[in-house]
Amino acid sequence: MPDKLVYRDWQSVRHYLEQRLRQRSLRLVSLDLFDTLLGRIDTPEQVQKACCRELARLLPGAASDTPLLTPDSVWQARQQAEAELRQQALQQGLDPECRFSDLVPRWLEKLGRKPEPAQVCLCIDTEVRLEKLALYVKPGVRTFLNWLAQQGIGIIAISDMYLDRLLLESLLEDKGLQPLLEQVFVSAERLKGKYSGRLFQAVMRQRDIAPAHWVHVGDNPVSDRRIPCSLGIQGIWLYEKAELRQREQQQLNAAMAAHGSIWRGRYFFSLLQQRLLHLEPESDDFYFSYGRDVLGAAYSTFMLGLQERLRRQPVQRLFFVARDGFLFQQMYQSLEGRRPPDDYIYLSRKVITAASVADELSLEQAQVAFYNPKQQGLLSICKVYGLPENRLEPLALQHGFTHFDEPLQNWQDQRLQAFLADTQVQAIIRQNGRTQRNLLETYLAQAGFLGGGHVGLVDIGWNGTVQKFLKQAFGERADYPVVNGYYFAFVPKMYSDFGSNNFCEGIIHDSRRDNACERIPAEFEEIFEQGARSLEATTVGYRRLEGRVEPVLKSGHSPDRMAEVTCNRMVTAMHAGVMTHWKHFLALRQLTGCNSSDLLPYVYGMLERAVVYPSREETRMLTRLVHTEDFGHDHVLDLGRHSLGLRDLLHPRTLLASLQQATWRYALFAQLPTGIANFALRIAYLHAVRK
Amino acid sequence: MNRHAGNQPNLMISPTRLFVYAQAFRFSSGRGRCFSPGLRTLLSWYIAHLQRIVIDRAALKRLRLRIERA
Repeated sequence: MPDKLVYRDWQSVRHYLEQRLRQRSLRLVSLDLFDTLLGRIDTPEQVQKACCRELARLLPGAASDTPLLTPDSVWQARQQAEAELRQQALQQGLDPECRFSDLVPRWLEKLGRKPEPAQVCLCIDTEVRLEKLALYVKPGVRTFLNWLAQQGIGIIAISDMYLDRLLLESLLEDKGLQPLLEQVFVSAERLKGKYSGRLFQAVMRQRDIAPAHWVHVGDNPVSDRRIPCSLGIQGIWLYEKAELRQREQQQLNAAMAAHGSIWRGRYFFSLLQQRLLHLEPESDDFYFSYGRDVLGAAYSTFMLGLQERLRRQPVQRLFFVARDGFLFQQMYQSLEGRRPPDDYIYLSRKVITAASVADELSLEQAQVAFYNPKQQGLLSICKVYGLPENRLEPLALQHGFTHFDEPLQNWQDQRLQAFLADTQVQAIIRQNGRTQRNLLETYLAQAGFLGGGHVGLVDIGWNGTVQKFLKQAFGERADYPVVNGYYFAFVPKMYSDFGSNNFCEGIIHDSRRDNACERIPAEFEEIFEQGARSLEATTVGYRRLEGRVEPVLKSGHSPDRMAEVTCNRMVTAMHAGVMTHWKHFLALRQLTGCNSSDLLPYVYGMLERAVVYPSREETRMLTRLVHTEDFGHDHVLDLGRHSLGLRDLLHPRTLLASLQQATWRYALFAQLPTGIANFALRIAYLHAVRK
Repeated sequence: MNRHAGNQPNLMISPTRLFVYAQAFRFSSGRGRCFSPGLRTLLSWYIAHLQRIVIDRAALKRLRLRIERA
């Protein structure tokens, strides 16, 4: 009887085979498939349950007296059909095996369906499709097989598996292993398994091979080593400790997912991590990794939430708003199946606000310009509403303003009220506003927004300014559509009334839900905007060109745009990371059936970690990004390059001022050891916002 | 090229860490349960983890190997 060999990696197996080749005592190598050549990101049971979930959804309804299919009823029917077939094989004197092509018709019968070819095909295709999503080629396997293929000996695969040989071969084809294997033997074909030795004996007869010239490699110490050894075949137990650990971890994660809360999301993202590890090349670009690991999770969950809402309340057309809707549109366009048509629409707060003053500029509207920490009073109003500064400045002097760019801390300033009450001022504003409004109106009609019936607007957030102003400016038109605004985060601090047929919802965060945990994107809005924005400049107006209205983008010579362009490479890398995440997210969505509410608790946890407890590297790299805004100003926002030290803690007033002014306040503590300072700041901040 | 220290995907956060993060909400607004794993579930997770470490299946498999060889 051959030695009972155990090797821990493919390299060691290769060394052993090289010895046998030198001795000229090797003619055939057989390899186990599952957990030997192919790894799994999820357990077989979970994949089968995913198939049942899909079939409960996809199988057409039967007669009216047939009970409605649920994933559980489909699962139970499968278990029964499988048990019967295995019992039947045992009674025939074979091993307790079953064949998927026999299982499916019986399964359908148990579900009260006739096993018609179309339904059988649906079941088989669904199972194989999901198996393909769950499988990957283990590290080192391709190199090993390529080497083995050059040795001039037979290479076959032997597997204990319920899938028919042809289905197994299609899986191997999908993974690129089929050309490297001469033949595939599967227990389902003859209803004989490796564990009884009968499958090995059948292969021996068919291939006419002496056991002494045959080596078999697999991960099961019994069916891949002990049994072949007992037949005189050299069995090798491939014992990969890390793989075993990973499988145990998978089982634990799957079991914990039943507890709900973060556990379901954690399970989902653990599978996603496995896919990324095994199916994607490594990247040493920080921004790519940040897009893949942090923003990818948040944006993908947002897009999943968007899909769910569009299914519940379909729209005729979906508009992705420039510039932060750019990445969402890319993600949307990579979805398969029927979906509403989409468009990218060039809008910005600047062009919207400019058009909104066609009738007058109210005090409430003027105050919108003061939400910027670097506001410059009347100059900011002119920039936000695209008003001619040179014509308004002399009139401002008449109302007591000495400096046109003087910041106005008192939003009820008497001079401001008098300035706005001046008929000359309002005439200039109206004239300008009407020109802008006409251009915008033509653009919206041309884009199909006006007259769109029922449309969706997708944007990053935050106040819903664009949606609010569109309704305000054109809501009286008979063809103004019903608008569903879907935002990554919706924080309507500026306005509360959006008018009739003008709905807004924040999918990741909606401040109206009053959940403190989900407001994390609002703690560092800039990074979510940067991660999603397009590379082009913001829209500053429109112009007529060859009978059409085209957007006018901000000049490349403006200081903020020049700074922004230098960051485009980083933004592109983040986009690539997000799209990589999204690709695997969609695959896992099919495999797990998770919906956005399953994932959100864990995603909030991930965002809390990223925003409140950033690593030093994250702080250093993210604060290199330049952030601009589309409200008409030219300056850039400092994302917080200056960290605080222990010494700063001794100066509470300076500390407080720094915290109040910081865009990313938690980054200020990046240099302090441990996350205790961030934790304390978090508690203090949550106390403050509650009040 | 911006070098990144940990280039492997990292989507996993320890449940203990999330539990600690969630305490900031508990101490302030009292609404911290949305990403807290829950103390009982966290404990059951720890127990399952401990079982994996204490009952080292790899060691058991090695023992089995020795017995088989003998």
